[in-house]
Amino acid sequence: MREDEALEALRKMWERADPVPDGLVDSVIVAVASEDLDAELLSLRPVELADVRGESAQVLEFVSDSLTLVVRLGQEADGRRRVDGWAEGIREVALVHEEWSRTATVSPAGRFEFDRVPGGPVRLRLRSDDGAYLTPGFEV
Amino acid sequence: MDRSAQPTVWTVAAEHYRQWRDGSPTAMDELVRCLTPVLWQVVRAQRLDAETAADVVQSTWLALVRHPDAIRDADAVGGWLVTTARREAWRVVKAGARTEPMGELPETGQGASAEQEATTRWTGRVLWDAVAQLSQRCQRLLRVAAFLDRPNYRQLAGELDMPMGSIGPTRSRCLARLRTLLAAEGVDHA
Repeated sequence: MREDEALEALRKMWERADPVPDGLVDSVIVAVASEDLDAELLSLRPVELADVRGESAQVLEFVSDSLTLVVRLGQEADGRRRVDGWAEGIREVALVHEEWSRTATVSPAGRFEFDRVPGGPVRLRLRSDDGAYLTPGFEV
Repeated sequence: MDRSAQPTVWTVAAEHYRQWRDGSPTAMDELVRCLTPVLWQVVRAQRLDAETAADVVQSTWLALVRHPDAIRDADAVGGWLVTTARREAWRVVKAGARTEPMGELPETGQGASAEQEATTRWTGRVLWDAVAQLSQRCQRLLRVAAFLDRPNYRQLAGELDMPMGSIGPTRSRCLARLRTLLAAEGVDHA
């Protein structure tokens, strides 16, 4: 019996003798999902339009007690959209659509950008050292 | 069989993890399904009772989602989870968690034919009894090694309190001892 065959036999033996208890996988999935649900929901605050430069740009501000996120929605020459954002202290950001999602690099200053974004309803999911945040849906 | 040529539990896990980081919400569920059985074996190798072992497995997963930046390279996700689970298991054992002796081999086996089942049960029983005669250290090393691929051996050394270079030789000695015990029972696969 070669070593890899012996290890294979041992693996089968232990899998059979001491399998993962029923329900453990499901309870882990629930625990992990609730961890994500702990994401704090940011609320949209109206922004004075006087601050907006350019006709096709729109600025949104999302806030919670511990985070302020400013998002600028712009348009590229080919008609596709771009999303620029800034929030102090974040280290991860994802732009989430119902059918796709993209991540972007966050600069040390908390800036990020998504270019060539197809139009449609999206949300931003962010993470800082303090926790996770989720914006309400908005139209790009 | 060339293990590097086909998807292993580790490469599948890395792909799920990559998708999760890219925002696929269901990819984490797949990753949990894929690697929880491995983590379970790794944690149980420390002889933790089932309830404590389940807690350790769950905390390992929560550690992953709470610290996603702990892993730069998605290919490292399996190794990271195994190491985290093993360290946490080891920590709770040191802290006085309940451990239990190696249990009886359960009489189960759904889905196998009667003949298959009889064969599996017989060899399983003989193998089980042979393993039980090995030293604790051999039992633990073989149980973990059976569920890891070779690159992961590197991480094993520290926690098993062995020099890195001795993991492979010790594993071979444990397997040789196992084969001797099996041969004495008339099981000769060679």
